Amino acid sequence: MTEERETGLLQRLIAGDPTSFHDLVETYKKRMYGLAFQMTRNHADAQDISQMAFIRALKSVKSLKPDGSLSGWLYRIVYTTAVDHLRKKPFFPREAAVEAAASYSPSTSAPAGGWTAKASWACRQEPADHSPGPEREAESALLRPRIQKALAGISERERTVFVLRHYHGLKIREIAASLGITIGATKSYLFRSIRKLQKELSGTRLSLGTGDRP
Amino acid sequence: MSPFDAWRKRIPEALYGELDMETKEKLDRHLAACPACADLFREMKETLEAMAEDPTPDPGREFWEGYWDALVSRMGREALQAGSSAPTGRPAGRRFRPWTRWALGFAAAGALVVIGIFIGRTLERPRGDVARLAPATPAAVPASAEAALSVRASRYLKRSKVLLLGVVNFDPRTGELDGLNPSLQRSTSVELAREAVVLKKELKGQDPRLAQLVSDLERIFLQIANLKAEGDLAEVELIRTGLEEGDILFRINLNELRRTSGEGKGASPGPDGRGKTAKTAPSA
Repeated sequence: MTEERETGLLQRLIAGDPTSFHDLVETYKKRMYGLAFQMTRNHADAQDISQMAFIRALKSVKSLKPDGSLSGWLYRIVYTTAVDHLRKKPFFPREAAVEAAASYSPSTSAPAGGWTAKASWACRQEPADHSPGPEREAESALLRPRIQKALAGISERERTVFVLRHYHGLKIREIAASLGITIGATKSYLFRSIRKLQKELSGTRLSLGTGDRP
Repeated sequence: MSPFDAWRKRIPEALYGELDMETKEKLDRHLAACPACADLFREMKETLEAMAEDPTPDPGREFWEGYWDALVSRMGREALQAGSSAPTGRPAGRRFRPWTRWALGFAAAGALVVIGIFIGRTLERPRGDVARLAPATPAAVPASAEAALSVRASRYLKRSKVLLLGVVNFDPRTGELDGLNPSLQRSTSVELAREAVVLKKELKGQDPRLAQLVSDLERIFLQIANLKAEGDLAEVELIRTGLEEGDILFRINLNELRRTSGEGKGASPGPDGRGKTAKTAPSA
């Protein structure tokens, strides 16, 4: 979404335009779901959290500032909603969660395997690539559980910072604002998350076009 | 922090292109002179490349298309709960907080869009397709027509319920239709009354009880549609009385339960001897 469009939507929300909330949901639903999924690694929870977050957003439209960041405000709501949700949720072994996430296969009209092959689909708002080549699809199917497992191996805060930077394309200062932490802390989380992911992935031969290791 | 550590910490910023030109040049000079940092830079770069594949699964087109519908249903439910759980000392029309008015309004407007899309897809399909399919699968056409009607009726009732809740929560002391935007309520009522005319005829053969409910709803929506812009208090009271005496909301709920239990059992045969379960669409 361009900055102009985001600003326009922000102004419409503040003004109480009745269609603005629908546009907000349609524009951000994939991003909100994407972040919630990465925090919970569970489809049902991600759906629940993203919906709760939109309802919370609607309830707190008055807190929006005309010169503020709409996406940052929304990410913050999703983040706090997910944190609340995780606190209430009973203990669920991490390995089981990773396996559940890795084996998740939606029953709806998703592409074969239920995954998109395109990176960062959630933040770019591009239509999901529903027709990947068989080689690419097979490669992706091998990679995703490993990436998911690596992400599951880092702390919730580190993962959130990494996902927001790497998959959602937020700037470090935007992440800091969204999560309510300092820029310095955000940088630290990002550095640590990459280092930990590096270790998690080490020893794993990743067959990527640009990332092949000898 | 040593200069070595300071530069190491800035590698992610460099990798994501968040360093200004001057700092980037300084980092590049440091990397050229420091093999340890250069190695770290390369390793982190490789890690990010390896993580290029977003592991978030796509729940599919159907999920995204139904997302708004599911959200407004939830908002409607929560608005209703918020209303019913409010302190009893408050006037009925004041039970709903401002956001619930939005929620109920969105629910009604959202349902309108969903119904429109659904009708467009199911009823506006070129007749040539149906004619072409009919000889090959004689049983498929009545089954899908029945399923389409069932879904239409279900969504119609959901939409009606949302709108009627606004009327139920009308506060005669303030004269405010606190549950909904009155102009939206009137325009939606016009649409619902129009749809009821077609729907009740189609339902007559399949489900006479539901056809009667739709007929009763048609009458109520016509009353709402004819309300004056400022709100005719006596007329609104009359509509509320009609709603209560006709057990309209109760009958809508009963129909939802009937439909849900029919889906759950999955064995109730339809007129053509087929089970009804497979023909009903998932609820919103």
